[in-house]
Amino acid sequence: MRKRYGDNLWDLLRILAAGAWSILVGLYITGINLIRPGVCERYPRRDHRPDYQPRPGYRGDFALLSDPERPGGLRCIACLQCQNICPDQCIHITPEGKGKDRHPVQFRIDTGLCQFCWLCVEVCPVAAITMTPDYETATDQPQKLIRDLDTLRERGRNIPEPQRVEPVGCVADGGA
Amino acid sequence: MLSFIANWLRDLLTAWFQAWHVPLVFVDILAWIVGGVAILILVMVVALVFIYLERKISGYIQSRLGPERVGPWGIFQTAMDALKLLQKEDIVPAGADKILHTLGPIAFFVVGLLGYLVIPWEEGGTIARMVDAHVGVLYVLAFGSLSVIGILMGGWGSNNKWSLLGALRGAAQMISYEVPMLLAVVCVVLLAGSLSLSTIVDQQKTLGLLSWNLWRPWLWLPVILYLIAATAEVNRTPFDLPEAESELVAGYHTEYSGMKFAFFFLAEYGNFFLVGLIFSVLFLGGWSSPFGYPDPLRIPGVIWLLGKATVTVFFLMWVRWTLPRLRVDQLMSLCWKVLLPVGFLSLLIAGTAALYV
Repeated sequence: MRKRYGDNLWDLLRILAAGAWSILVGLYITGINLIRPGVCERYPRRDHRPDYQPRPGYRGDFALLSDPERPGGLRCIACLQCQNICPDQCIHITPEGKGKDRHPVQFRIDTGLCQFCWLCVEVCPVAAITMTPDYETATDQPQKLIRDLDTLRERGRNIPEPQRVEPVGCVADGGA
Repeated sequence: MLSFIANWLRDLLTAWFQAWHVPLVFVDILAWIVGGVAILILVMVVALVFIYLERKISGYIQSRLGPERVGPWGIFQTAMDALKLLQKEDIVPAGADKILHTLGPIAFFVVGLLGYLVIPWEEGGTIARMVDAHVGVLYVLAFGSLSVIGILMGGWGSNNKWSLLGALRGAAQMISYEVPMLLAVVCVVLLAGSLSLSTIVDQQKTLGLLSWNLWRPWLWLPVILYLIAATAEVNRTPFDLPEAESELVAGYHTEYSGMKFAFFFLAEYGNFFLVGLIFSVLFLGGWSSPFGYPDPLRIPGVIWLLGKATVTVFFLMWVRWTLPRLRVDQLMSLCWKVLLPVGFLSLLIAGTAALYV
């Protein structure tokens, strides 16, 4: 039979004591969180931390890494694996050349469709595509969200190696 | 400080009225009006401040920031919210009982204000000596339970099932929790030997902090009882069943908008602060300084009282953002099967202490 409140005095007292203890533990936890310094960034208000950079692994805007010895100046071998794996089908590549000379002449990423799932970065056999920590990509014109080859090349010019840090979610990393 | 201002005003008015041959009754009437307006303003300001405080505290507890856009640290947020509510359309649902729908928030608000009349703000008594507070405890408890009527009016008058359910829950809860609350207060009354709030404070002022009722072991059960029952009395989490968002939309004020809703909201925080005030009067020494009597810091008693009440309110907010809501049956069984026997037990203990300590 299921126990109920007040079946006998001893049980009642035990339930009460356990309840009181759990309340105290709860108060302790919320109290710690109350006085702990916050982790929030006051985002549009930069006076808080002007030098703010997202954590490693943050998935922002795209870049294509450069390699001056290859045709087109890019590492990309236009194998189309990223285009094929992309769940949103937002990558469109026009390849050119055969064998070692194969390179993209057009590389379009519609970041308006992209869900920043990191699959294209993972699948790339030559580590040519990556995401930068640049998070300010908002615009009022949808066509401005489409990245073409020149933009991507320009962005990747100063990146030596793509970030290979496993992306971290806020639950596992920064949270309570 | 307060009684000094009040006496000065009264003397001034008396002199003027005598010079103009006006009956002196009008001095009293004027004093009541001034005191009433003062309380009204106090409740408004307190409600605005506490709504802001509550949002900030909840934010910090949940690792957020809370309001921080309007003014520095967002301190004008609630003022702006109140202004917004003032401008909003007053919607009365079709089929609603218009009279009850209008009277509900008014009754709730007025009843919430009335409790403030008997609070001893400092030595010498209540605001403008409005109420001769020999039965202050009884008065406060009576008006505390009267606010059920406002809730029931609003819930019934809205012609909405959620409003009605919330109001019925509110009525059941507030009437039930009145009983353990009364038992807790009776313990204090038993030891003080008086129903007057001023007398209860007077007995706690001699040694400052050390003579507070809070430190008497035979009053610890009543302290816990009072805090639990008072939380239920003002419908706050974990006892916020009358306005449980996830079950009843917003409970008894589902169908309210604009200023009527603001009245409900302000009065809720007014009642909440009243609970803090009564707790500090009963257990924390009211207006008396924690450093002894007379106050070595020479801070006015009203400031001590407001500070103590704010600390109590802060604790209850902390509890609110810690605990989840109870179920209805748990609520009732907690009241009648746990709090009531504990109340009688604490009455027994307090009575024994009153006899032998």
